[in-house]
Amino acid sequence: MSLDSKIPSGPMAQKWTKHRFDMKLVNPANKRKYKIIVVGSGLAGASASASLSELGYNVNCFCFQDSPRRAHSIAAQGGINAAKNYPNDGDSVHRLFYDTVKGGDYRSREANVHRLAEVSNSIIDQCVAQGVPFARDYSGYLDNRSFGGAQVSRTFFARGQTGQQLLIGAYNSLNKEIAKGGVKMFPRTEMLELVVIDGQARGIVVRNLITGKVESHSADAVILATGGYGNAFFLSTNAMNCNVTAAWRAHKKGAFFANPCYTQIHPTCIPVHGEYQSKLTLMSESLRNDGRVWVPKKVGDTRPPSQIPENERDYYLERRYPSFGNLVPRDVASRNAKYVCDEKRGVNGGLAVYLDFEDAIKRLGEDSIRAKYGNLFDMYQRITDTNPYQNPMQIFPAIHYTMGGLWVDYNLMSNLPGLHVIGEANFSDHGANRLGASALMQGLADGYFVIPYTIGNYLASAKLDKVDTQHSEFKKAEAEVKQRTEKLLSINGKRTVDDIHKELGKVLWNHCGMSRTEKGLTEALKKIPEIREEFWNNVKVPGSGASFNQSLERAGRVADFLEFGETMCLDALTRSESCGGHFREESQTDEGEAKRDDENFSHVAAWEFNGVDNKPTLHKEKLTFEECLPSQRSYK
Amino acid sequence: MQSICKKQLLGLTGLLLVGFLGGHLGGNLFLFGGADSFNGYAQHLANLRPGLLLIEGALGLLFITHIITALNVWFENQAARPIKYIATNQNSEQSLASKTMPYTGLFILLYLIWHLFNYTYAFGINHQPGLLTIKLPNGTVETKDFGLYGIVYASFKFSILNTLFYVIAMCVIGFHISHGFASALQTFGFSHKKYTPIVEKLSKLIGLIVAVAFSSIALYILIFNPINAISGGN
Amino acid sequence: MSKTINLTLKVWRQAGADTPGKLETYNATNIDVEMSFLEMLDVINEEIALDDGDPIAFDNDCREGICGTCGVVVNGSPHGPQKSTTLCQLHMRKFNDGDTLIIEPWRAKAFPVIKDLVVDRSALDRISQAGGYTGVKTGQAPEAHTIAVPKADSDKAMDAAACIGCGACVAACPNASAMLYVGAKVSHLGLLPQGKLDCDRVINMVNQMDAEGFGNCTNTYECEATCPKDINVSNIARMNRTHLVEKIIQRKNS
Repeated sequence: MSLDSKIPSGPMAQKWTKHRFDMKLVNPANKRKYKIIVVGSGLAGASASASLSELGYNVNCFCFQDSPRRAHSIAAQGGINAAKNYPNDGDSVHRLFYDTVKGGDYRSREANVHRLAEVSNSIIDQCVAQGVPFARDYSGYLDNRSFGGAQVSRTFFARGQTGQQLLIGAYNSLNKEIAKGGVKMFPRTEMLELVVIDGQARGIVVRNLITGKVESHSADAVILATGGYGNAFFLSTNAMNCNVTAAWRAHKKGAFFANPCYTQIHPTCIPVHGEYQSKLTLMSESLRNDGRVWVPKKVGDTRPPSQIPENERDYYLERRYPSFGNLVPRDVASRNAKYVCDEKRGVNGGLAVYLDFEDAIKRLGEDSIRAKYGNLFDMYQRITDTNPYQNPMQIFPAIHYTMGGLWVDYNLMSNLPGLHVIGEANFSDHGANRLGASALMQGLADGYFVIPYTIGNYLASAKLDKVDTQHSEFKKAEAEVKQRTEKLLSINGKRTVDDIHKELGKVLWNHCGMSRTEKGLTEALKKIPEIREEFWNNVKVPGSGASFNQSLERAGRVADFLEFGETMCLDALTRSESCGGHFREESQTDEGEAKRDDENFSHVAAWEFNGVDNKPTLHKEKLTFEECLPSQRSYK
Repeated sequence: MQSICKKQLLGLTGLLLVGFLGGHLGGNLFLFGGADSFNGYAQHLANLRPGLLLIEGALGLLFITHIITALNVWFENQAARPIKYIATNQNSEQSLASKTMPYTGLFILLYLIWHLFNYTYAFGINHQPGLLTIKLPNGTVETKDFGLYGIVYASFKFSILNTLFYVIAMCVIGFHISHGFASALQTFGFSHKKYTPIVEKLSKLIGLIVAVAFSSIALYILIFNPINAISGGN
Repeated sequence: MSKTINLTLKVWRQAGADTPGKLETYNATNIDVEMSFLEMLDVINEEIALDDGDPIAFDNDCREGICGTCGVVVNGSPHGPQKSTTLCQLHMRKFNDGDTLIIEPWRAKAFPVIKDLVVDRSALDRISQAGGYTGVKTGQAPEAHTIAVPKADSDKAMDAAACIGCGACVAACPNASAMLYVGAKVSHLGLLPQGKLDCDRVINMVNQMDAEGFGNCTNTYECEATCPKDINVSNIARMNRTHLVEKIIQRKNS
């Protein structure tokens, strides 16, 4: 089948306006007759649920957390971009659009990105009205900071807790609608199957995580806002319970998975310290505004940093990228950290580089640095027990965000009619690399300002027969869930879920991490099915399915990662070019930068599921560029 | 009633009671001036009747409201944590005064009953005489009715246990106020970066003043025996 | 290789909401002091699972101190002994070799135990649903710079908005009161011009708070001492006075 991206015709800057007029509307009185399921309650899910309920739709919102306020959007630190141009430094919708397409290394869909830039300003308005306490200057107006990949200051922030504040804003709106009765909230409830009837997504099967009860919910449309798959790597900056399950189960029911190999490695995370490590902690990219990244020039220099004189330090980002310096995009910063560590020039020859604030403290004073980054510095000290005001931080890249996701068209609907995918869970806006402070923007753009329009168009134009949860497809899906649960509990092998997950994570990190090769990926594709085999024969999942059972929850998620990981590696192998976060060693410039192959790979790779042990089918959506002509990305 | 309203009622009655204590203390200080001075003050109060009855009634209502509200808050708070912690919090920063409010409160209630019976009821209602036997400077011994002054004097001078209980009660009241005063202001929403620490000190100071000033009268009589009494009448 | 320590854990085990629970003893041996508290529990759970036991259930998610999911009471202290730190960021270097740790769930009538150390904190959500929002609908917002907000107010609002809703204030309060949580919410919105519209917000939230069975505030300030985000009790004072004002306005309007 061919993928129709449904990009509206007309000039780029008018597409969204024109499309909003062209879309069909649901009469206000009829909206209450429609029921919409939203899975996930992060920025995208909460904002969509609240906005749809405000319009009059009946919304059921599901999250596996104990409260919608805990979704992982909350952990975003640095900020949210918008083209307000408050600093008067030359920003515009077009520049935000251009920077985002370029930042994504020309692998995103221009029309989507332009719409994102267009609605970015409304997001800031909306959030301020909700009471989000964005940073302000002494005159009482909103303050901005710079972020990687841009030469204007367009990032709005609330200390180092921007994600938290935006999510609380969305959560508050969601609460307003829950109180009103428009949204029914199902916390501690995990989606385990998508139900497709007559080719349309018509509901989900969930497990109540407290009682273990498997339940069906039917609806006229389903929206997945279930985040990214970074936890496939086991160690990532994602929350422990982030997973690919909802997206993967939808994929297995026919939704295409696009660009799974596009993963983002965040350059500034606290390095790994032991085998028992359960997750990696991010230090906001905003730190690179004032921190300088360096390693010793000499291999095997084990002196403490304070004893390494200035002329024996290599500020490698400033040296290689004089115009962007420490503020190069994430993929570039990460890859360069890897290079210097591969040269054994990392801290003590290991996997860490310095992020040094000495100069900034000298220039601005410790108090000023404390005011800007105090909470991040405190966090660093709590975790590492060293004082970053006195010693440089040690940082290393870690898996942070996933640009890939379920394929969606311009209306954010997947190839399965009725199944909409928003936020990090879809693939659409960031191409092969996401710029800092754009994830929050995209999640809220999708939820507040895109899906409320486009879902109406679907509901008004689709032919929706009445279905309820007694339908045989629901019964079948429930049976599948129960059967899978029983299977997981009955294996009773010798290895724990985490143990096997760590093994998968290592394979993915080594072969499908910061840099990838044909050889490594081929090896990973051989190993992953073996680990999957081991899992289904030798995993130990204690307890029962009929009660609160965290081991069982994890087992189900890891089972999906074990299938998903294979598709991710296959995608990485198939895309033999380098682009953004996807770096194939075989495809680099003489200077070691990612080298795209626009002739062969200027497309979205959307994979169709054909069964666990069968190769998925590749569908290509050709990417065309009208406004931003692809060029070699340069931050020199 | 809403929890905050309840707390504000508790705070308001508490603050008014602190005000009452201030007045009471002022009256008690007449004890330093001798029998005529103190009895004169008592008589002056008595002359205000029947208006005084109104004030007494209001005062009683204050006490009862304060006590019932406090008990209600306390019981609700117990019920809010039906299963207690096994370990005690080593990092607790709670002051002893705030921790013991219900207990100091109950102790004060006991004292109040004793006080009402011993002084207020004994003199004001039962019209008990305040007989004291004193030794005059010329060496003669004389027994006469010193009125309320005599009752108070005798109770402090000739019963160490009594005085001790009184002094302890005054300290407990002071302790109760040392948390209660600042707490009441917080409950009404007074909070200020600069002034709240001062209020907290003031609260402790008021508690201290109440404890010291009331006790000092009893101890003054016990130790200095200003009218040279050798035995009490009743 | 970093230092290791041995600990004795006494953990509250309770199979379900309606079953009685008790402390069970576990030996935590060779615990790397660089581990976080939750990673230590992970290690214990791996051992329990391989030993055919039922792993200890405990809530956790982001493990970077922001989601508010985690939290148990360690030796009587919610989130453990380190100030301004959530359980997930507490590291084992804060403990000594040979220590015995008593680990209990948050205790409050309003937080019933689901299993072991996991409690149901949905009462906090219901309080927010009763009034913790400004009422603006998507699309209604005016341009963000329409109203300038004094930086001092905005900063104070942010201090209050930093609440992660973990419930440690309730767990620490001798009365299991939720006043710090609600006070933080009231301050967050009340300090901003955008949040000052709804005159019944505080009354509604307090009504819900009372209905959930939380205790009354007696100004012991244990909440502030325990709060991993250093939320100040001045927020409670602000709620107290806002509540009083709302009551007066309500009377006037009725």
